[in-house]
Amino acid sequence: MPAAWSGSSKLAAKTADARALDQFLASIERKAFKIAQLALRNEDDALDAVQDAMLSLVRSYGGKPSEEWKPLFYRILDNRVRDMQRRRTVRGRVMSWMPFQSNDEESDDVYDPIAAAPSLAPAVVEKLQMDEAIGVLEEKIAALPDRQRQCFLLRNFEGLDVAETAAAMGCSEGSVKTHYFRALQTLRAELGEFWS
Amino acid sequence: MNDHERNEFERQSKAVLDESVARLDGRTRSRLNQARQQALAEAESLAISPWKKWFSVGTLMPAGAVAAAAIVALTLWSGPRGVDVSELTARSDATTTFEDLDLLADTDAVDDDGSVADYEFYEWAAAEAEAVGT
Repeated sequence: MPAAWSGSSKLAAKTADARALDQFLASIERKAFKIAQLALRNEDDALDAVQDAMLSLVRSYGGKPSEEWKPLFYRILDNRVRDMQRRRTVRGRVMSWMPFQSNDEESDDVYDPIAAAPSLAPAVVEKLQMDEAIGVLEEKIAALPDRQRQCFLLRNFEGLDVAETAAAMGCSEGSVKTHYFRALQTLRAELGEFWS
Repeated sequence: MNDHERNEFERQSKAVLDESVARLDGRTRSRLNQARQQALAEAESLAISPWKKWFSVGTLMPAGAVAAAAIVALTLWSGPRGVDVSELTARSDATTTFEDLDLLADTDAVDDDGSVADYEFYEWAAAEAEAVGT
């Protein structure tokens, strides 16, 4: 095989890999952000966690078969979220001992036209009903124990099967079934009245 | 999990969550896109061969700077140190004094000069030459 031909085929393969990674990341980034946001309850932290997970996946597992990317990505994201929660707990303990605490976190209240871009909302009433439904559901999901919340979101929202969820959570398939069942029970009990 | 396996509650909760994702604001969508592009750029840089990476400008520049600093440090360490003029003058005076004493003590040195010992010889030789000539 001529060297130039071999080189161009390698280049084409790399381009195809990059395109596949791009498509994969684009397909999961918003759901991943939502999952991280529900765990961390902070937009900026959630964005950081997703970005770190993307970088780690590309650096360490980009060469793996694409079928393995999703569980791997969510495993990395889960680790990152846990790190952030741990760090936040430590920071909270340290800050509770500080005599003066500033509230600088709300300093970026500048009007952002991109943030204010119109969303794809239907009619106003439906929008308000949906806003309420989203708010209540997210609140209840965020209040679930960590493992139950993660399991519910990966199974129901992201659509992973039991084996993939187990790989992403680093636990057995039996544990996945248990966590999912308990999460469903809790949410049904909490939201049944609201959604009936 | 596909849609057939979900019960009504699961379907409804998924629909609500999907809607919340569809309503993500422009800023968040933009930042997610940036994060993705950054990760892909990283992937591209990882795909560069190790040799190219090793000889890239980014690697060679710091190495060159370290080498230049090492050369300067060696030059400063092993080169001429500061010259003490008074020390040099004293050393030069002492040397001159000893050389003068040697010259005075060494009679051969005066002979070699030819100014004293050979004077009578040249005078005699000149007289002999005149005598032979006459």
